[in-house]
Amino acid sequence: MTDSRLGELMHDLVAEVSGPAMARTAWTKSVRIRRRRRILAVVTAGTLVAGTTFALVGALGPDRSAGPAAEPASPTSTALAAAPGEPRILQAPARDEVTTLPSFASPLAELSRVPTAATALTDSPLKRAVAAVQRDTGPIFVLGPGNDWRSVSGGALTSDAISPDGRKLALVQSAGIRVVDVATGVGRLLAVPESATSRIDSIRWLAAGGQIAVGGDAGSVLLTVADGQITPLDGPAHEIAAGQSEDPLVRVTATVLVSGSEAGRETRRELGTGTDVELGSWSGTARQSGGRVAQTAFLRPDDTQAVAVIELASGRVTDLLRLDFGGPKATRSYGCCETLGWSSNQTVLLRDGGSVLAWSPTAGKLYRVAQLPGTSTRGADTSDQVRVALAP
Amino acid sequence: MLKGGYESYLAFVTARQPALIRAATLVSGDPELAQDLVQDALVKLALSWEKVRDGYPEAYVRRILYRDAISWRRRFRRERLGVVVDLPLPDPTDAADARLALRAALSRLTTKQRAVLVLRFYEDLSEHQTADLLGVGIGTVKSQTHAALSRLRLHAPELNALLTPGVTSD
Repeated sequence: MTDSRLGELMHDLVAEVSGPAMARTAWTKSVRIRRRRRILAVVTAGTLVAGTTFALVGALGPDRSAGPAAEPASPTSTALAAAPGEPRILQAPARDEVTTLPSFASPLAELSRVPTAATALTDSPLKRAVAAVQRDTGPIFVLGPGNDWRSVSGGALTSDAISPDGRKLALVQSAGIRVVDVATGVGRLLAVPESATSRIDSIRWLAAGGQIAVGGDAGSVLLTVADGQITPLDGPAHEIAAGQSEDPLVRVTATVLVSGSEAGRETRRELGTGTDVELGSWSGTARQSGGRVAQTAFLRPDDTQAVAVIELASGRVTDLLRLDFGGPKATRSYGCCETLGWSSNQTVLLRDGGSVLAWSPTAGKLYRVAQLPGTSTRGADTSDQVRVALAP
Repeated sequence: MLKGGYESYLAFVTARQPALIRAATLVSGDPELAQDLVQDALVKLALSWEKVRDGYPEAYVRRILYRDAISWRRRFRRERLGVVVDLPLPDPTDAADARLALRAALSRLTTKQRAVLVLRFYEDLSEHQTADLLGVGIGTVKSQTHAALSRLRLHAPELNALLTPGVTSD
């Protein structure tokens, strides 16, 4: 195709595309953002002045006659008042303060003790996998139900790697998906042609555990584990609700529920609407528990990260956990936070950098589950070098 | 509330918004997402209007738009609010077949590849201008263009009759 012909075709393709007038809305938003920035600057300046004064007084020495100074209050998550019909909002503490959150009793606390070496899974298999962790391109450490660790190599871990029954791991390789049987440690490569998906960027186990939806830039396929058979999949693989449905046509995301096969027709319904909270976009996997879905969201206008809980029946965002960047030091980076799943007691499990947290939307509380070894809540965020998967 | 440079901003956006939405639609492959991208770029433009109004606001907003469109996919593989809407096809004539084939083939490219093709052949920018706008090297523009065209040929063989060897550069 000549460059001019390609250009002409592109012009034809979008000739009739139009949109609503946006100038006034965009300008009004910018005015609001400027006002918010001014308020923030004033508050920051006030805090600095107060902090400096406090430090100066401290430098002059405490008044010993008054007894020991009181311990500073532990920073904690803050519940923000919600208007009727609006989501309840919980503000997570700054990244370097999550270590002060109350601890959450869970077998997943073992994630704080990921080893640097462990017995190979082939030498000592597990009944099932509870969680798995990988640092960079190193071996994958698999946590069993008895708090025992095993190692396995040969692929990249994603947060959706563990099958619904916990008996298999699906690891991403450039040539396809390597499925490892946790009960034997034996792995098998199921090839996915480059032309089908291009670079693989998402996988989802279907509920029965016999098929995996594999997605990439160029498309999605459904991979049958037993025989490696590949069938084209209509729609993005990452929309499939992990481990929730055996029907690949039924998808759940926090934004769009449900594409089902009703009389052969796809039906879609928007979620997360009807709120003043400006949800800009979503990332990661929608995690479903009963009638609710939890998913990581980005809020407008500055891409602040949050975890949203959405009631499927109404499509309403009922709860929001804000994970703000953290001011000028930006202790949280883009994509730092990921929704991992739900615990049995209706608590959302999430990763905030190298910290695994538990959020109870009902109680409006945030807890600390584990701190992954080699990660810190201070300094530069290196959490993208560690990947975590939990059993659905 | 609407004071300052609003009048000049309004005039600029009114004139340029349709072109921005069309370009964003080609890059994102999704008219609704395109509107989101343009809206966000226009907010950022408004925030910097006083600084850029007497310079090159067109280049400023396009830089934001294209870079956001690419980072949108690369960083987060975000999903957008709303439902997927197909690009409208103007008419059912023979020409529509070519458009249909091109649309399907474009959807098989990465966002970066689409952005490079749109800048080079839709916006008619040079390789140097494309590299500058995307904040990448000319080598990247060349390789992305080559890869994108190869993929177009692969996924739209029905357009091969229109293919000629090579494409013009600067």
